[in-house]
Amino acid sequence: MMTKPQILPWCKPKSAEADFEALYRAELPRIYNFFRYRIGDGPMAEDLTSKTFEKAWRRRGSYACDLAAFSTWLFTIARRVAIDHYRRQKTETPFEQLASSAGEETPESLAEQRADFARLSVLLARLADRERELVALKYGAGLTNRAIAGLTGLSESNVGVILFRALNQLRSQWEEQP
Amino acid sequence: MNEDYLIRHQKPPRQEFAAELYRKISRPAPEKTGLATRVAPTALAFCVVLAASFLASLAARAAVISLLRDIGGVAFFETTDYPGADRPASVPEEILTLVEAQAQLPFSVGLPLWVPEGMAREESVRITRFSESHTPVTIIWRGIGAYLELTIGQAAEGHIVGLESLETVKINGQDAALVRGMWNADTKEWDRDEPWIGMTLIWARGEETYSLFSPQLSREELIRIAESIP
Repeated sequence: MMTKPQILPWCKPKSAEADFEALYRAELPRIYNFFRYRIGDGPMAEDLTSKTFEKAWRRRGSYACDLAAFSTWLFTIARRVAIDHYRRQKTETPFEQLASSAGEETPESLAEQRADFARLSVLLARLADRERELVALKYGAGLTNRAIAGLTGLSESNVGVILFRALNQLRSQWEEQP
Repeated sequence: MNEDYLIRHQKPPRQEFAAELYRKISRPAPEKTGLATRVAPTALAFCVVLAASFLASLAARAAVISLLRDIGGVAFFETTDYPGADRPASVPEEILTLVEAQAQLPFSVGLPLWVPEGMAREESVRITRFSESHTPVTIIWRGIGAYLELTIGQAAEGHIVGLESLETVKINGQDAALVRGMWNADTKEWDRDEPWIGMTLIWARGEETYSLFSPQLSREELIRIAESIP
């Protein structure tokens, strides 16, 4: 006789589904902005956000039933999705393309803001990979240094130092290229 | 350029995108014809089997069974053949305090003396009654963004896992199996490389089998926890 499969009992499927919509609403903007800052604005940020939530949905039975744990798990998926994206890309996206894609499909009234973010995207692309990821987690997704430390395995103070240096680099390049 | 400037560029996702994505991910799985009639929504860790029926069907499964391995007295079948049922099983469970559970169990529950800082044990434990002779107890620890599950039960006759998912490690000098991954009930394949899948450490201890599972903790942390069980 074969026993029935063991099912991870973290969440009963029914409650997980009930909770997922609320979690989705809470986390979607954070994940989306993480990708905007990590990869760039435009359709790609939406595609990668979709991939992240599709993976999360398929595995919704296997997360601990509290928001903090869910958020960490979701960002773990998002970080991996971003890494996979860069691996597939292999070649770097030209800065000019980053700048132009940053402004796609947004209303004309936001032209100035678009131009600003396009300029920022070019500078973000010049950061080292780890720095850009931390900037995306901090300023895109709005995570605390402690949460970023938990996610990346870095110490909280190390996260602070890396972000401080990244911000200095951005500021300096911003001033060099008005 | 300052922190406020960077934060100011956040923007909400388009409403159409948000609504369409939610529709897409929450759409019910399509019905399938043939043997697989419905996709179970929950991932499976691995299957504990009683060997008689499994070995009886071994001939039929020979093409996909790769290896039968014994690690520290625990048998593992490595295969590409998804072993799960089409639906999550309904197995009787009892939620009890540890003291109440211990009074019902025919074996002693050994708890680790060390877990990573910040993790706390839940008061309730769960006994799953697969059969009269197989009643594992599951104890859970949680921390910020971390989950740990210890399951102790009577020795099962085998575990069905994916190919190349096993590593032999040592727990206080004794062989133990580190299983990377779990069965994905949606794709009916073994998922191993996704970082959030986690690892399960399995070892025999007297007449019982212990398993420690966590999606977040490292191999070294799992071994350290196991070694701290007196």
